Amino acid sequence: MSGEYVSKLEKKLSSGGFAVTAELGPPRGANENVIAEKAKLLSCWVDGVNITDNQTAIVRMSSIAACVHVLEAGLEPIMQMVTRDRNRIALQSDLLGAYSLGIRNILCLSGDHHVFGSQPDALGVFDVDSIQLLRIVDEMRRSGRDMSGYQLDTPPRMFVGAAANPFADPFDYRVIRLAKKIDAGARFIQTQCIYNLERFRGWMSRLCQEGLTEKVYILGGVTPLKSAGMAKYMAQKVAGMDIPEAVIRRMEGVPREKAAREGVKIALETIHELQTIAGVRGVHIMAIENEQAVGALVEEARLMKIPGCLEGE
Amino acid sequence: MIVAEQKPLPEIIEMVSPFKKLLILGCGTCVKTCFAGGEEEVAVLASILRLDARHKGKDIQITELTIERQCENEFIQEASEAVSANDAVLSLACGAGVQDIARRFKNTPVLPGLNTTFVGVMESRGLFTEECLCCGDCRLGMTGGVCVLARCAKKLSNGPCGGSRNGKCEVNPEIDCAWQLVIDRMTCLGTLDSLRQYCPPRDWRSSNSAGPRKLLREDMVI
Amino acid sequence: MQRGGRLKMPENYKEPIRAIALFYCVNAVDRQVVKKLEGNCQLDLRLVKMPCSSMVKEVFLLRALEAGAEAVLVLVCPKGHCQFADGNIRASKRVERTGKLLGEAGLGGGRVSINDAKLETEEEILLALRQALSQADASGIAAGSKISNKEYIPSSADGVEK
Repeated sequence: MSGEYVSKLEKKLSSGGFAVTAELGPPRGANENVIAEKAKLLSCWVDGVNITDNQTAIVRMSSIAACVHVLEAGLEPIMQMVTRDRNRIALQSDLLGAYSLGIRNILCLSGDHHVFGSQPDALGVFDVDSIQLLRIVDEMRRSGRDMSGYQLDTPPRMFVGAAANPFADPFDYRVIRLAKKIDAGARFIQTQCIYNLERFRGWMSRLCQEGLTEKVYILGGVTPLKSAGMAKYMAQKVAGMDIPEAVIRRMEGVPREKAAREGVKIALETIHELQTIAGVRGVHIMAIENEQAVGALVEEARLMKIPGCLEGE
Repeated sequence: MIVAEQKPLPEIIEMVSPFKKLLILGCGTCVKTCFAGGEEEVAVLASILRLDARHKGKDIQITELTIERQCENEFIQEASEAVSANDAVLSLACGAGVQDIARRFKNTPVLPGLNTTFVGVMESRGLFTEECLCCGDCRLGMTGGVCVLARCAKKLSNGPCGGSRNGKCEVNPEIDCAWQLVIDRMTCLGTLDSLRQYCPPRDWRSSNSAGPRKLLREDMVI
Repeated sequence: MQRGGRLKMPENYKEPIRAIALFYCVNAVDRQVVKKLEGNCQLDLRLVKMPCSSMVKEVFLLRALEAGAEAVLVLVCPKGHCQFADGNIRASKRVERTGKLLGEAGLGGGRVSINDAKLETEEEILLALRQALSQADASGIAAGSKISNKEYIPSSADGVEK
C-alpha cells in the first residue's frame, strides 16, 4: 500500500496500528452544537468517526455538513454515503464537494431501506449499488476520472471503505461478496456488530484462507448492550443481527441497574477476543446516542488515547 | 401478464357519480386472468354500482361489455357502438388499455377502474408476484433467471445486502430475498462462481428513465 | 300520546314482510324441508337450489339484492363434507368477498351470509334466515331497507325454482 496517506486513519492502519472508529449520528435538526458536543466525548479516543447518512432512513443533517462540523471539532470524519437517496450524478457531485471540504475517508453503503424510516412514502433511488459506488470512488482516486471518463481537475482521493455482515444469509456467499467489495476498491471494512464470536472467527478464517485479509483492513463491529430488552429487540427485529441465546441470558441474569455494566463487560471481552483474531485490524464501536460509553470502553480496553489529548476540551 | 387490482369502491363510485349512462368495459386478456377486469368482474361491479345508485335514489344505466383486448384497435372497434351510446366509459383494463380507449374515443370520458400494479405471474391460484420492471436490458441470463432489479428491494446488482434473514427480504418477510433465489439456483446449476464477477451500473436509457419508449417494427408496417 | 307513554302502533299495523333469498346446496339441506318453508314462514322467501355451493358467485348474490332481497343466505355443507372437494370453501370465500364489496360501498356488508351448520328442520332453517336478516340489519343500513325496490325476482341464472 502506498506510502502517501490521505488520512490519519489510513496512516494508522498502514503502519500496523490497531484502529478504533466510532459512530456519530447527525441531529434531526440544524443545530451544529449537537455534533460539537458528541465530538467532544469522542475526541481523545478514536482514530476516526463515522458520520451516518440519514441512518435508518430518517431525515437528519446531511453527512457532508456534519463531517465538516466534526473536522472543525478536531476529529477525523469517515463520511458514510448511501445509494438510497441520490443518483450517480448527485453522488459524484457530493464526492467532489466532500473532498473540497477536507473529507478524506468514505464508507460506501446501500443504506437502510426507506420503508423502515420516517418517510416510507419516498422513492428509493438505488441507481447504483454499494459495490458500484466503491468503484466510482476508487476510479476517481486511481485515474482521476468521473464515471463519464472526464478527467477531473483535482479529483478526490479518498480512503475508501465498505461494510460487511458476516452473520447475514446466505453465509457461503458472504465471502464472495466481500471479495467483490475489495475488488471494487474497498481498503477497509467495518463489520456488523459482533456477538457471535464463533461465527465471526469462522468467517475470518475463510477470509484468511482466501488471502483477503492481506488486501483489506478488517475492523470488527462492537456495540455495548444497554439492557436485556435491547438484546432481545436487536436479535428479533434488526435484520442481519446475530445475538446468541447465551448473550441474551447473560444480560437477563443481572439486575436491571447493572445491565448496562454487563453490556460493557461483554463488549470489553469481545474487543479482547477480536485483538487475538488474525486479520482483525481494529474495532468499530457503534454506540449511537451513547457516545460517552465509547471513551470509557476504549479507555478500559486500553486501546488508545490520543497523546496530549485533554478530554472534553 | 400485467397484474392489476380493482380500485377501492368509494373511489370508483365518486368517479362515476356525474354520469347517468355508463359503459363498464372489461378486458379479456391479462386483467381477466388476474381476476380484476374480465366479464365476471364487470358484472359484479355493474351490480354494485346499480345497488349504490338505487340506495341513493339516483338513476344510472349501465352497459356491460368485455372485449378481448383494450390495447389493440381491432378489438377496441367492437366497443364503438357501446361507447357512443354512453356518457362515460369505466375501463377495467390496465393503464395501457385505458389510454388506448381514451385515444380512440376522443369525445367520451374514460375512467380507470383498476390500479395497474405490476408485470408478474400467478405463482399459485390467487397469488401474484412481481417479476419484471420492463427495464429494456434483460440480464436474467446472468442471475439464474431471477430478476434482481424487479425482485430485490434495493435493486442491488452485485449480491445481497446484509438484511436477508432465513432467505426472506428484510423489507417484507413474506417475500423471498431475490439474491437468495439467485444463489440457490446458481449453486444448483454449478455456476455460483460467475457471481464473483463485477456487474457495472446499468444504462438506464433502455428504461423509461430516458422518456417514454417507442418500438417500431418496420417489417410489420404496411 | 301522553308524555312518557308507550308509542302505540296503529291498529292496522302489520309487520312488513321481509324479503330474503336463500341459496342452498342440495347436499347440505333436505330440499323437501326447504320447500315446506316457502310461502309458509311469514318471509318473502325466494329459493335458489344448487347442486353444489361452488356454483354460487358474487354476481348472483348481488343480483338477488338488486331484485329486492334485503339479505341473502347461503347454506353449504359443513367443512370437509363437500361432495365435490371444496365447493363450500369457494362459496364462503365468495360470500366473504361480496360482503366486503357491499361494506366498502356502504351498502351493508352483513347483507350476505353463509351457514355451514347441519340444519335439519324447518325451524332450524327459519332461525338461520332470521339470523341472516338481523345480521343484515346490524351492518349499518336501516333495518328492513331494501336496496332495490324492483319487483323481487331472484335472478340467479340456472338454479331458480319456478
